[in-house]
Amino acid sequence: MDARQTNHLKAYGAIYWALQEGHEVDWLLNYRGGSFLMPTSAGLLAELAVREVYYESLAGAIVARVVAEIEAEASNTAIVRLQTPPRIAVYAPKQTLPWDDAVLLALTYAEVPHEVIYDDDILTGKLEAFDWLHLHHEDFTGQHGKFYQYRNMPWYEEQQRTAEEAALRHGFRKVSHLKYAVALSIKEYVSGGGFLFAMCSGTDTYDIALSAQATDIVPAEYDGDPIDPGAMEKLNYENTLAFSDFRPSFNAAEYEHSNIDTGPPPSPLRNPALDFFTLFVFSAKWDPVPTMLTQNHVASVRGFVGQTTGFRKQMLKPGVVILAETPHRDEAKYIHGSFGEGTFTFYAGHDPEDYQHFVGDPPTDLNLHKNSPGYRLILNNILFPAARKKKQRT
Amino acid sequence: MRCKTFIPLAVAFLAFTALTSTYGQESDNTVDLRLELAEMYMGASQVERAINILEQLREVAPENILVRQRLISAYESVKRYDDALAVVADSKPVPDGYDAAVRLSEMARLHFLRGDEQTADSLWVAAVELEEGNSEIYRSIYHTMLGLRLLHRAVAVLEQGRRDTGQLLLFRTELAYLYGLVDNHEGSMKEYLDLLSENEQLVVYVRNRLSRVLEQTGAVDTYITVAENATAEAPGYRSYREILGWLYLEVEDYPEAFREYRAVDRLGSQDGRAIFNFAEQVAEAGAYDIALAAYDEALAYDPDAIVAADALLGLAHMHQLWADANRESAFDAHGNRQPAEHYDYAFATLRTFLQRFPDDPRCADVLGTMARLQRDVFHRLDQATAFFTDVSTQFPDSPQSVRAQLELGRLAILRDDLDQAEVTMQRLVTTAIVSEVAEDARYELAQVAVYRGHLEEARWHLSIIEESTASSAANDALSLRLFILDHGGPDSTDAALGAWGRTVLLQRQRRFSAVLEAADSLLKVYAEHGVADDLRMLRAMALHEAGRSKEARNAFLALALAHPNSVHALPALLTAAGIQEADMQDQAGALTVYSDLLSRYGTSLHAPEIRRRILAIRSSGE
Repeated sequence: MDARQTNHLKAYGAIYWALQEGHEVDWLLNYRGGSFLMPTSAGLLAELAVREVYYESLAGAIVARVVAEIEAEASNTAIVRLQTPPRIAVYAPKQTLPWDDAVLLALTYAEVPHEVIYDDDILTGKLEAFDWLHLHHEDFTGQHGKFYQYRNMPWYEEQQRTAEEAALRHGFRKVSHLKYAVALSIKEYVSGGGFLFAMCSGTDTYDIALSAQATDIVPAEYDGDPIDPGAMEKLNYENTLAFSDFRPSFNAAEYEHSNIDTGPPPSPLRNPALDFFTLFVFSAKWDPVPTMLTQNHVASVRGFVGQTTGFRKQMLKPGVVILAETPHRDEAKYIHGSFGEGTFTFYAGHDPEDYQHFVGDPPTDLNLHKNSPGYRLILNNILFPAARKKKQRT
Repeated sequence: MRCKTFIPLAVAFLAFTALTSTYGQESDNTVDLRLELAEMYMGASQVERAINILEQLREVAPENILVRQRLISAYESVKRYDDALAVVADSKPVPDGYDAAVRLSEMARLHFLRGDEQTADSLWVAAVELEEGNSEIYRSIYHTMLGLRLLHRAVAVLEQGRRDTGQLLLFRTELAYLYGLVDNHEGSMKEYLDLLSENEQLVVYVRNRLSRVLEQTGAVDTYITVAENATAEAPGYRSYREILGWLYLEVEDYPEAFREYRAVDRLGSQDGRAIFNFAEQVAEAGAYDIALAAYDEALAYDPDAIVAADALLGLAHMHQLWADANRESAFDAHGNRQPAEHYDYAFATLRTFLQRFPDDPRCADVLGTMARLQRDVFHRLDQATAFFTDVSTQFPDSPQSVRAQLELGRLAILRDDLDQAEVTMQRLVTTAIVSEVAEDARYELAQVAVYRGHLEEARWHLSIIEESTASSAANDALSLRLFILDHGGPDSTDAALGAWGRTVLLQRQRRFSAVLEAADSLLKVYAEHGVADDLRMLRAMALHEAGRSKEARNAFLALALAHPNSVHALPALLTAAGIQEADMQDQAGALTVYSDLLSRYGTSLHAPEIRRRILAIRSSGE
């Protein structure tokens, strides 16, 4: 999975396919960009060829030498065995919205099976059937993405209407109450051992919603009544997963949820050619989880902005691990943490291969970005739950 | 005396009035200024400060409506609903009627916001009862409820308004919109149709409104059902049928849509324009059968009308698309002419157009299209020449004329009249110096030189074209020049290249038997030369063009297997797989060839196409 790999993204789908077929796969952490090792078969080779995945056939002796090299004490490499293909759910509305969803794009392109679920499914306990849940451009604060300027567009009206109907259906007066209930269910899911991956506004709005259980932070433009004048005092940061001490944005017209987001870089640096973030290097043998999440063929990844572009470091809770940061800015781009038996990983920005994705822009064609390091980070997350051991029969 | 007394009194009165006015103005100014200050505090989110000022102002000017409204807003913005309600309740009483109802509705809104829905509802009921039948009261309450997103309750209020007033036409646009929001698509559509029954001109408005909710689950089906029922009851309403036809188009039910557009035409202009517009849309969607019927019907109206001209051109274009989609050929595997239904129709339709509309400005384009059909589809070179000559002579100095001259030169090549081709191309090169046509003509000159074996001359032409990198012929020129450079020898006359050039000319002239004969003969002489594989490719392509699919596939496979390192190996295998898949309908065999290709050429530029084909065959087999 180094620079020689012809299609990094499809490689993850091929590994997922191999796991589905009952193969065990070794993930060679930090070895040639996080390569995979598995026994060969005619079917596997055909599948790799069709998916345009570069592979090398190694003789037994060479495999032994590679394994020994990886396991050597002096090298920052390790082997993790992948055994079970995780059951993947993507949290997304049925409605087609005028922006793309990077994870749905990545999973679809990589041919990784997944199921799309939404509020009704989560509130009826369907989440338990999955190992992995992804959130993308979602707004758990109940402010419909803060797209107030688009309020007269058919897609906005439809989004608002369906959300309000879902809230009423579940006995909530407001969308924010429904979304809080959903956020809480997801939190219980994580606590029980689920894996949560979120991007863009799915990250900060999730924590903001959890913190605002006892108050109203939604301006009248979105829910018909004003915010609670004592909202700031009533925020409970103990309820959140990753962030604390933030201040929600109470301005309905501001396309921003809180000061967790660092926002796009200042204008001289708001340039795809200059904007980048760097991945941290972890000890593969002692910190396999963050190592898995940061496997890549490059150390620096091109930056990209979104409604949530980066996380202000001072608002990260203790224990949250920074996986990637933007140099010279108080900004974490990619973070990871544990809650209960499960974990959460938050990745800021909207689309790793579209520097500024605007409403109405066409979805990114990943055929043009087969080796995208930014998209690789998303796909690292789908294999990470596969590292769990199978339950023994006896 | 009376006058003297009156004057001082009048002066005193005026002075008193002026004093009073001055005092009053100062007072109003103070209120205004403080109100402005309160609003500034509100804008700066210092609501408590604003409230302090507004409360003081209310004591000074209890009847000032602006102060009262601002104070209510300020209380509301910090969720002090009880205080806001107290202000409303403490306002100057108004007589029963509209104003009182508005006040009750305002109180209901505040009760709703504080979470007391029951009181809110009873206040709204009371507001309506104040003056049942006053439509403005229902409208005011509806607006309040809409602001609170109480869509179902807003619907109920408007419906009650209709009942209470006995005016069934009231609130039509409001209800149509609201019904759409609450998924009552049937109700929504009925309102819109009623609107249309009053004013047919609103079709576009209604279509725009409906299109906003068309993607909602079940919406379009319900709209169709309602529109069908309405049309059955009032078959003479043109606007109903327009909406129904449009809905059928949206769900791609073209036969039903056609029926409606027919009716629209009959009930409207009766000139076939509506049917022609329908035909265009359906042809665009690839529903050729229906489009054909629609074009025919549009043509059955006045045959000399402008609609007929448009319809003829649309029909001809559609037949060409149809033929392309069917991979229609005017010749069988043995080279015998066979009917090519859609190409034949296209040609005949264009001919009809020329006969009926000889003065139409599109005639030059039509003649050009007919000429290309003759040359490329029917292989009638003389007829093609005649049509291009017509374009050139009938429309001199037009862009079509210059292009026609280039095509005449190309036809000369096909007729094996290379001298004539050279003269024509040379003239174009000198007269149309900067145009794209000139570049194309020069490339043709280079090719003619290759056909003649004049390779030095060909190189000279090609190098000139290459200087114009923006030209579409530049890439072809570069490719041909490199080919000539790479395939020199075996003697100083580059005889092998000359022989190859002549074979290429035969291929271009579609003289496939001659190509096979020449290739077989040359391969005996130049089997080890660089052009050998190119000759083998020409041979295989000639077999394919001649419709000898199996032999062609074998020839392509043989080339690739015997010469796996040839640059032609991959294209040959790819073409063989394509023949197996499309011509021989052997999907399994094609899949094997594609998979083999992928394993051997997985990193080639053709790999994405190979993968696409594999996935397509896999998915078609599922």
